Amino acid sequence: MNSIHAHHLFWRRVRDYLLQEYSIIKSLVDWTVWLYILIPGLLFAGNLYDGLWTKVLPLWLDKIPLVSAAVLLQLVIFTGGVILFVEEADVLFLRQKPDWMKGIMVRGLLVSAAFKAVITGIIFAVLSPILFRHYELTMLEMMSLYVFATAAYIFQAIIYHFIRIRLTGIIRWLVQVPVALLMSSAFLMAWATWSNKPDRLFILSSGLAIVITLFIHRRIHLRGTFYNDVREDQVQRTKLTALILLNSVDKPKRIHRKPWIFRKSNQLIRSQKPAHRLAASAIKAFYRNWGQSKAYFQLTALSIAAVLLPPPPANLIVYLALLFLHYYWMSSFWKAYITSEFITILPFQDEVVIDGSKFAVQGLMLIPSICLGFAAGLAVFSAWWGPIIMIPVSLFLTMSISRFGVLFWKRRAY
Amino acid sequence: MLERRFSKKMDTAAEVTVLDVKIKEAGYEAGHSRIRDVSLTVKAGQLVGLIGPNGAGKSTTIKTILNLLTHAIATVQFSGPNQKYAYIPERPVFYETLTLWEHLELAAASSGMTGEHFKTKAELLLAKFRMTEVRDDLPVSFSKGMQQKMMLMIGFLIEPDIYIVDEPFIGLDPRATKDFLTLLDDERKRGAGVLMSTHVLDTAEKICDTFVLLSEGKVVAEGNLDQIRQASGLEDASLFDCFDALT
Repeated sequence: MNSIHAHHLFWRRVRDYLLQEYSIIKSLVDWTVWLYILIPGLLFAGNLYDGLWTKVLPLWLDKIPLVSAAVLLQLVIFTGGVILFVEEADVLFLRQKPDWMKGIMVRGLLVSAAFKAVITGIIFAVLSPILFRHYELTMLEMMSLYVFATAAYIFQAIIYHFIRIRLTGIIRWLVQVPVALLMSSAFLMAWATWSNKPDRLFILSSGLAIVITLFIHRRIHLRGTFYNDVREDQVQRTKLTALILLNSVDKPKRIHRKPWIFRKSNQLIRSQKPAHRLAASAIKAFYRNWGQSKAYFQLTALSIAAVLLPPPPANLIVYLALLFLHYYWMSSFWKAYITSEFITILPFQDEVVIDGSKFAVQGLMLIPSICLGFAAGLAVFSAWWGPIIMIPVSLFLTMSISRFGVLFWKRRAY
Repeated sequence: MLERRFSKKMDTAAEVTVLDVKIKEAGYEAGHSRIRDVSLTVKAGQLVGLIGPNGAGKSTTIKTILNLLTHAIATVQFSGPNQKYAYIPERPVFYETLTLWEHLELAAASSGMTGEHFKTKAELLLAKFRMTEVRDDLPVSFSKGMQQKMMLMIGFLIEPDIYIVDEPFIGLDPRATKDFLTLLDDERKRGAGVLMSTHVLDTAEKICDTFVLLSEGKVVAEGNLDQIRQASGLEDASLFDCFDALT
């Protein structure tokens, strides 16, 4: 009776997962537009594939060894994991039914294995004209390579799963990297050595199948890994989302206990004026945000190159434009800083915030201002003494811009 | 139209009003008021409990007092001697890249507290809330309870005339709750008033001088426990029972 319930629950989770993946793809693809790309694309690919079976194969294939197919497969293997279909909410009631949990996990492992067999099958189907016609493999050799690749794929995925749920931090990487190197080397060597010895590959695959069975048995009897299982499942299930959002959303930040600079809450300035203290806290907050300070130094470095490269007077215009660009960024950061929720709960006077803007923006612009002044000095005067003139000019301009900015802030009363 | 005034009223010490609120109506959208005709007064040293069921308008009242709503017809007058208030929100808010000590420093800067006075007071609070070990840590790495303690410390640091506290007990362990109540008591002796929104009615019954009971955006009862009992028609009943009867 219990297994029937676990069975239904499992397939419901699989269905939800597939629907979720479908909705992600659907959100990405506008079918009415893709109709014009997808259908011609499929027709073109079909024609190309047919050509691989019927036409003369390209000559450059002579230079590519058979083991390249194994390298391609190994790259795919690296991306694969295991989904157990356990969920955080299982802690509420399902954990009290070990049979259900085991049932779901075994099914999860089997479905993951079947999925890997299908993926390997698709890769083999695509490569089959080349494997048959160019490398002249027999059907038996093809089958042995397919079975071996599938077994290696499942075996590696389970090993990575064990490493990910048992180890964390640097230790995980110290173990995972050598293990990955060892397993992938062994896979490639076996492929290269025994690609025309199907009996040996079948024996090796049988051995792997036994080891996989033992690991599955060990896996479902493993205790104390529930939350790690849930976390690993989430990582595997959201792979497609992560891939799609790779360029549009920042990766979730790691939570650090200590800041990476000014680790002892060091004071930046001695002044006890509220405006100075507020500005100093904003400067610290800016530099401590690693992504932000990385972009800040990258932009400063690029700005130096952008000022040095064009001929005068274009470089002077570029210099001024970049100084304003830096000011715009820094003042935008300041605005975000002082309109944050935390500041709204503190009784800062409006004058303090307005005065603070001048000091904060000047402080944040100090490095770009000096660097831009240095570059402009060299570019405009083409002499060693150029920077000696332009750095003070740059600092003066920065001060003037931030003072002008304060007037603007006063008018808008932030 | 929100009128928010800071003024130094010179009443007799015991009767100094530190917060006077008259809200005609307020809400999150024009024409859709969430609270109507809510008036309350907090005197120096007094603890006023703002109670009511979920959605009664407690948070809207607090947001109106703090001038965080765009749609409000109200008069809010802070009249303490220092014209400072401390708001302790229900959900901890903080900067991810500033340490605990820097948050305290920022709070001190906002109220003009400087040098040794700040250091002494801040270190005392760190010791009181057992947070000295983590003074240079980032609050994002703290537990919910520790983050809440940080919010309380910031409130206590600036020595305001009035504390506006929203659900302070959520996430606090019993020891931290006790420390919070002791410090609150000390502050009341100093002359600070407290407006506290809470659902923890048994604690509220023990510590609050008066109550403002809200339901569906309106005041349904106010006064001390006896007056609340009278309004609910339940003699000798607990605040919990009165709350049940009135809401």
